[in-house]
Amino acid sequence: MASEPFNEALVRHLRDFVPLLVVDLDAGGIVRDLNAYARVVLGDRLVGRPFSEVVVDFVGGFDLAALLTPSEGVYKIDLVTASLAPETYFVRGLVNGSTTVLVGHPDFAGTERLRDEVLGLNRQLSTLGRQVQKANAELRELNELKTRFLGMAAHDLRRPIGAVITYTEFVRDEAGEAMDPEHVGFLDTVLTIALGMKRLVDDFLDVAVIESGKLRLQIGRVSVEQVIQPAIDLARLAGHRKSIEVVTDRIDGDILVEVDAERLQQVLVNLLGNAVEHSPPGGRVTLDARCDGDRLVLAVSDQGNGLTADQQARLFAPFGVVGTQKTAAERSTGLGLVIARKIVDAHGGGLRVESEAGAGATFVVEVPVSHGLREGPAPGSSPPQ
Amino acid sequence: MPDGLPAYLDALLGGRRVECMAIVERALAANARLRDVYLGLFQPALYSVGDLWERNRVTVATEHLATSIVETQMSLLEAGLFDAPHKNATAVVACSANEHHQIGGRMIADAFEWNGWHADFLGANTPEDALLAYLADRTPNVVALSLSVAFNIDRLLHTVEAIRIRFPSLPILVGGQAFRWGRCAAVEAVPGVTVLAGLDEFERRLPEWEPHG
Repeated sequence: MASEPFNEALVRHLRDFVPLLVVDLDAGGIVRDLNAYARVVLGDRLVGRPFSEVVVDFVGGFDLAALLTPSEGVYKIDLVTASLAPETYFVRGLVNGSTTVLVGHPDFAGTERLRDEVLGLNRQLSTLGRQVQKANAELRELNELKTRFLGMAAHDLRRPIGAVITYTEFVRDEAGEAMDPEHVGFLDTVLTIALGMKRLVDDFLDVAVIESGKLRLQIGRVSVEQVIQPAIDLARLAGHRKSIEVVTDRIDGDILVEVDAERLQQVLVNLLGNAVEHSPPGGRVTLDARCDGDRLVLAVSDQGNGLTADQQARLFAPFGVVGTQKTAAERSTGLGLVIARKIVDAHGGGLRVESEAGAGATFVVEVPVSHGLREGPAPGSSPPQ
Repeated sequence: MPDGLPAYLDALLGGRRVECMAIVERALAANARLRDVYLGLFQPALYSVGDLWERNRVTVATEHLATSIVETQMSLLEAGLFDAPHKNATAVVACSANEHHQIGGRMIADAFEWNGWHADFLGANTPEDALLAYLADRTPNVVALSLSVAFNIDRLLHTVEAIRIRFPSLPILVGGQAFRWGRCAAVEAVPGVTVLAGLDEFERRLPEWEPHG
């Protein structure tokens, strides 16, 4: 078998095996044939179609005639590849009578630079990812330490505050009549401050328990009435001082639900307390408690100033006390709603607010009525599970 | 050590990322420790890929893809390392300037972590000035330098000498694939430098550099 002439072998090799674009065009710029590399890059679809179809040309600058005219010129053109990504080629037209062979090579230097950059950036990204994960772990550890410290401090403060409250009440009740009214007033101030401190410490303890993941519900079977009545009584007491009426709308009081009654009462006390604090004197706070299918829905509405969308977005963030006006300048830790939502979440439910600025607010709690307790003792006598 | 190295290598060479992850997850589900996955799958698979490349059996692209898959998997697995209890011991791990292979250094950094150390990994191609500045800021108990390609040894030696001058008592650990065919007398001649043959020797000797008290 005769060996292939050198030049023919070289051309055939360059055409078939080298990453070199070879496109045969007719005099009108229609693609007649593509080499193997061009078929991979541009796709078979181009045969029989105008070459200009694959040229990226936003400003009409592509000059096909220049490519089809004999010259030494090499033109930079961007081509739409089969993967639809544009790619830069440096192309020259080799004219042979009525046909032209376009020969183009990729932007080797640019591609190489891009490859190095991408690899380098990928390594950096990976290293940064490790650093972020490590920093996150350290932050988690610091947060746990903070929570433990908070819990310990709150726990240690609770007892002396309790002693201050007990002894102040004792002195006021036992010796109050013999004291100057101004001094009794001092004792009332001490008591008010101490009770405020106790609420604060209780909130801190709750947050510490919740953040440590140790919030455990004591689910029991109780009537809706048993859940809501103590909270209503407390709210009416607070409302009485501001001439605010606390009323109930629809109450499915006899229906049995499986919840942590004490924790859910805590939620209601917080929501009703907030409603009273934000209501104007002579206003009305309404509680609605109904069972809707497999959900217990508790809704607390007030006639306060309501909440803007921005205030609602910050409402459940720790210490995110929003700038609403409490009508008697009551103090708040900014933790009550955080705790309430966590308790509701732990029940597998949800807590949301419906409000518009100037039109009051309604806080809605939804929790499942069943937590899969087996049949137990009679309503009202079931022990915590 | 976990089973599945041949299957893992096959998936790695084929660029089959999901299959690689499934093999690792099966190993972890069978109670393999992270260390076992590193030493039983990642390290031998990458050594094999390197050997195949040296023998012209795979392309540079395949080698890059394999490296990228392993490093992604390391990223996914590392989170658990950082949450484990730690000692009061810190290491800084880096690859010297011009060294673009970083998986070996990252494995050492993670090995510090699973041995209870804090390890900051600065990545590939860490400029010498940046490394020295970081060491001054972090004041670690140890610095570890990884070198994969032997022709970068002069750069490494330069960095080691610079660290020695600036931080005379800081222990310097050196290792990596570049030392696979032998140790480097010039590097070992620098006081306080230890060249380690591999992870086993590293873990065996790590207590030597642990701070007391």
